[in-house]
Amino acid sequence: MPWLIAVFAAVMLLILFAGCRPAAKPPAPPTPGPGPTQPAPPEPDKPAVSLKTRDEIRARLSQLEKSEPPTELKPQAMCYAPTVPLERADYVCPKCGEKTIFAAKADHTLDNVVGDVSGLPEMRRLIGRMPVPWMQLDESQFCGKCSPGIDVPKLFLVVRVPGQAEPRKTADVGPEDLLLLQEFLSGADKYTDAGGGEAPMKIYLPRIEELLGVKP
Amino acid sequence: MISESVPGPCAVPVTSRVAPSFLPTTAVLEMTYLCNHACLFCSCPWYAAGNGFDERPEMTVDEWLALIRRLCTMGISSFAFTGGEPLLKKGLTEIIEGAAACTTEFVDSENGALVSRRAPPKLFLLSNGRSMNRGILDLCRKHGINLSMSLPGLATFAEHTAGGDPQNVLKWFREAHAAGVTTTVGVTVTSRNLHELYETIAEALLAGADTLLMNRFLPGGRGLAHADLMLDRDDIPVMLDTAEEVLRTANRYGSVGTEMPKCFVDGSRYKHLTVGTRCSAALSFFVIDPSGYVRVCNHSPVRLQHVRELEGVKMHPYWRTFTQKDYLPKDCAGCRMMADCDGGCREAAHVVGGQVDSRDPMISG
Repeated sequence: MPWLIAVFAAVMLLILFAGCRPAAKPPAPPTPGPGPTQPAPPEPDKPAVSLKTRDEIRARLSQLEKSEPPTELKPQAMCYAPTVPLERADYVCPKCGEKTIFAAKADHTLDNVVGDVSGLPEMRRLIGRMPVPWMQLDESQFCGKCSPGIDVPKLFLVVRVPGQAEPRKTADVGPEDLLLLQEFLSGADKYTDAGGGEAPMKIYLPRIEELLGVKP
Repeated sequence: MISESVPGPCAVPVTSRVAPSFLPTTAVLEMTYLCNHACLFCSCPWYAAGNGFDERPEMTVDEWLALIRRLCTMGISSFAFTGGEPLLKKGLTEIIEGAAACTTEFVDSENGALVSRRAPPKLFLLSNGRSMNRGILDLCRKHGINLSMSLPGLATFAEHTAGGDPQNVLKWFREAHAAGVTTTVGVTVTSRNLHELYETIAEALLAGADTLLMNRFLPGGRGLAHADLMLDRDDIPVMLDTAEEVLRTANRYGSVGTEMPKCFVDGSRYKHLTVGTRCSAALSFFVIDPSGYVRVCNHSPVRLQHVRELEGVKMHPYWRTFTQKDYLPKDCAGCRMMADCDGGCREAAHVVGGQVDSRDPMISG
């Protein structure tokens, strides 16, 4: 998934430090949304926590696919000033506690390891808020001690849908992916991005299916 | 400053490497429990009544020297000497001389690669200024130490510091400036000195202070008994705008020490003042108290391990809470700003609210 790096410049003065993280570009909708003249969508099922099995998820996907998208969608707000790219990031492994240092590539195009590291706290928080317990982040490649010799570590989303034979492991996931899954699993029919912009959930079905490894 | 390239894991530029140790690169060393002020806003946890933070025997000069040498083998590249009042620590000069004689590894990002060099650590000295003397200034000049002195108001200085004189602090800023010592004015902003913040910062800059380090008052330590000093939500923009205005006028720069909730502050508005919204405790800095116990930050009343068992800190649950940023207040859970924000100061929230994921006291009122 393409990322747009946006991080805060950190200023350290004695014991004082500003923190940093990247802002993620929302996943691009594969198709444009419908115009405002569409009829109102059917009310989707709200209690997301009932999505405990693959069949239930499949049913949710089917229902979404057949539904008319919502019509009242807010535009994205432009709230934040451009920020300075980070030059390095320090990763502290939650398993072994050791620290690994990453440098950004000079042109900041990266393979975006520094951005990934800076965004990990948010990713962990989003995983912690998922309405289902069967999603985890696999960040082991970022630890130079646990996974030595990996030049471009990747962050994986591991999904173990109940009833699914094999876990689904997807690389290059960002906060927007987790927000998308969070809202989908909570029964939302529209997706609200980090800037507050809304889009019909339906147009993100391909990405949701990819992340969950479930087709309707 | 001596600087030399170092052979080893980083002699050839790389894009990633295991750090010299798990520790943050800045160590804040609380030299002594002693202090010759009784500042109303003091957050030293050992001054809080009844919180169980007892004063244990202080580390000796030799123990400090051995510890600093050890930390220099672990990639600590900045030491901040504080207290209490560090100038009251017997042997402080010897400790600082010892630190300045060390070399440590600096790992920097240059042109997309990590490069390593060895040099003496960067040193910072934080004082209330009352015991400042020419010898300390000479020490700072000799080793390039950044000297920070506290100026919590002008007309209200005596009230805040139990009888101190702001002119004494301003005098030492002038002396330091004349001696070529780089200085920082530390201003703790309270409900009682906010009205004279412009003048306070301005006087310090005019006396030669190079930068500003501004903190909002947070209850902790002795300050727990003075909760009325806390700024309210409406005071925050006044504080920030005032500081920005002075700094802009003087073409100087500063930073806000304690992180703010992002929903309170639009940091991008400020060009001369850096306003942080993320907590760096256990990530960019850590604290060693006068008795040798590690804490995540100077506000924290939680002792982790003694430096004799330093490796044990690495997987300590409390330390891990901070390294993994597992402390966002529940109220902030759905916030779209959580990527850039830790909900304010987590240790102030802990001290006041009882939990590390409690609300920042400014939010909870």
